[in-house]
Amino acid sequence: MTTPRILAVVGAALAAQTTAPRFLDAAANVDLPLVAVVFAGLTGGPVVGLWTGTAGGLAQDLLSGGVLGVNGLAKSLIGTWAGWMSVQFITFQAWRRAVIVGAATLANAACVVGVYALVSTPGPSAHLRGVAMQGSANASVGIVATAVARWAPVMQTRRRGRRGRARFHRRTR
Amino acid sequence: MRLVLPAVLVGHILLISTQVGIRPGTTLLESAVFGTLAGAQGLVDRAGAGIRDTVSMVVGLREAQRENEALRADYDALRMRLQEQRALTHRTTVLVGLRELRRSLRWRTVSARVIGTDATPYFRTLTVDRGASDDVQPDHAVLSPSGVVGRIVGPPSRSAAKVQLLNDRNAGAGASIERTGTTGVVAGTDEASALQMRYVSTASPVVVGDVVLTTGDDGIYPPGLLIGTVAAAEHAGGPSQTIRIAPAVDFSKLQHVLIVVPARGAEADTSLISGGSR
Repeated sequence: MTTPRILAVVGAALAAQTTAPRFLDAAANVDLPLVAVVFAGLTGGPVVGLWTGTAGGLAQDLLSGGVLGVNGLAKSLIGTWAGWMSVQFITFQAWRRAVIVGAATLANAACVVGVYALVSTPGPSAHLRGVAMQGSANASVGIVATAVARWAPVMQTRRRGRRGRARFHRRTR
Repeated sequence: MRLVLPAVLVGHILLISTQVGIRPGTTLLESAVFGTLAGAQGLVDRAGAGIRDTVSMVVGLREAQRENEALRADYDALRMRLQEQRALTHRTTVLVGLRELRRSLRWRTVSARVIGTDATPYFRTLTVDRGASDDVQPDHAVLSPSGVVGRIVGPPSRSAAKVQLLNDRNAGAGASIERTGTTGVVAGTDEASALQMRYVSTASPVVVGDVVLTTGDDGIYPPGLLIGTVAAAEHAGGPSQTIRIAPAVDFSKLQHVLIVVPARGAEADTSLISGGSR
């Protein structure tokens, strides 16, 4: 995964995160940059996960009401962990990725709340129910993202194939 | 054969038509041709009318949209005026001196468009398109025609600022119940659609539906602004009760807000209601 692609993924996730809740209330519970970081880690490995997490987390901090660096730290760890998981285990199936996204949500929440507790700045409160709901929402988005990532190239290839066949028939007619 | 038969039939009809009149002075051919042309004319007319109707509908829709926007702006301005009138009434009823009253209403507001929500699910903030170049500074109150929205947090950039919503867990505002004058602190909860009023004495009866206003004690929000209405009251057993408040503002549907900025000398007086807004 190249740097421009990492930046594009992070930018798209942030744009969606800061826009979607205005149109859909439920979208406020989803952490799209987190999903993007986990997927970057799973597809690109620990280094890609690390950098995506750093970029995504810092950008998220800049656009939120929290302390700068908290999400950067949390997401760097999450990205690296996701990358490590992809190296150690087979994580191609959608459900496995969903489980990893769910676990990453819990870890991210623990990290963010933990850091805020350490820096004695008022931060988010951790309610297991809320975090679990967020984890489920992120995992659902993860499943959809996996399906899209898997089927988009296939559909594109099929469409190209159909176009090519049609062109061939026109020429030979 | 496929072409010959129709051609022959048409030829026959033409032949007959030249001889048979259906009305004095009118032949069947004339009638048929006229009927066909009239049909075509009718089709063209209907199509033209359809296009004309569609175009006029589109133009009408645009006009209606413009009119709607103008009316909405008027409506918002009137609601804002209503809030200010409410604030004025509140202050008058508590017999604050005229000078103090005028000072409390010396607002100059800049309107801002909401351009983004918080990038994390943990905080409730908005980003607006006004910043330091518009005199927006941290702790400036942010309002909407419906009521209090929040305050500016963090250093604003030249053209953007972050707004901490009143329903953020870390937000707070000095508040009082309009009917009784009982004071407390309104803060956000885990639920985005509810606020909590703390430190309200159990000696003061609170009724569902009571209006909650800002006190101005926090030094951020001007006094008398609408926060919401009491939805429920809980007695935890201590000396104070916790009150659940339904906010007057739907924080998830905010598109435009007003930021209260310091008045600029004399023009502040005229900017009270609409002059200062842009």
